[in-house]
Amino acid sequence: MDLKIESKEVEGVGVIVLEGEVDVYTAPKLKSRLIDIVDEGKYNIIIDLQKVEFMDSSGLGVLVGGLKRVKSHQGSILLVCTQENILKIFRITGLVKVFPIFSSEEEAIKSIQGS
Amino acid sequence: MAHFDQPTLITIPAKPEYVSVVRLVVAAFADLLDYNGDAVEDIKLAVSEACTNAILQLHKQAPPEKHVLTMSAYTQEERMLIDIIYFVGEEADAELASRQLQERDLGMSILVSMMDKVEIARANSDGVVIRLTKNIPAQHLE
Repeated sequence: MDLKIESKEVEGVGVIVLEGEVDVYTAPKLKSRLIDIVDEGKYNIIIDLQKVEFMDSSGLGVLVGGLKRVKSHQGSILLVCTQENILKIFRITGLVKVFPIFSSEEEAIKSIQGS
Repeated sequence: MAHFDQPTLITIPAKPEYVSVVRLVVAAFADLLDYNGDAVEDIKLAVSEACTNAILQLHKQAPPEKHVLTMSAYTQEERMLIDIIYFVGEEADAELASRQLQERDLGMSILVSMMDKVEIARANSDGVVIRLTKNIPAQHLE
């Protein structure tokens, strides 16, 4: 299973939608896309993990790296995820305290617009 | 419970694109033991972390195209054991593997949370084995 990455802009916010598996093989593709989006000047980014079937620490590492990148521009990364098997790794690693996690893109966008 | 003490083995090139193949095999093996869906996901995740660690260590040491890694899954009494075995082509340094795993904080946190026991040791003179142990739920031991 590969990783499909779709990026779009919704109400001025960069949104990345992932589908598939994020591991040591596919994580570099995500890293590259995140860097491109930041280079385009988008510093508030939503990453939709609803269609991610598997993620390990390689994927988490890319998200943490992306967060460091946007924070240097006073930006943020918000996640959309309701899948228990993915949420679990954020809990285990303590990253639930680092990334705001929402149950839909709409909620995440509202949060950015309200901040 | 059925016994699967004869190891199920798979050997892959030590390259990132093959890790998903090992996950598929270990998930199928865990299904044989009637682990529930959550436990199977935990085992897949732990195996992915262990394989990733092995590949990253091998890539630091030598051209990756020369290396393979083997996963061996089997039962022993009331436990499922998974060995990730790889050969570094020189004097094996299990401590280096262990140190690298410690440095990969996120990977290590996941690995120890998912499994009941994680051990790293030398295999022969030039190999490293990462051994993952998962207890089999009591209801399946009859």
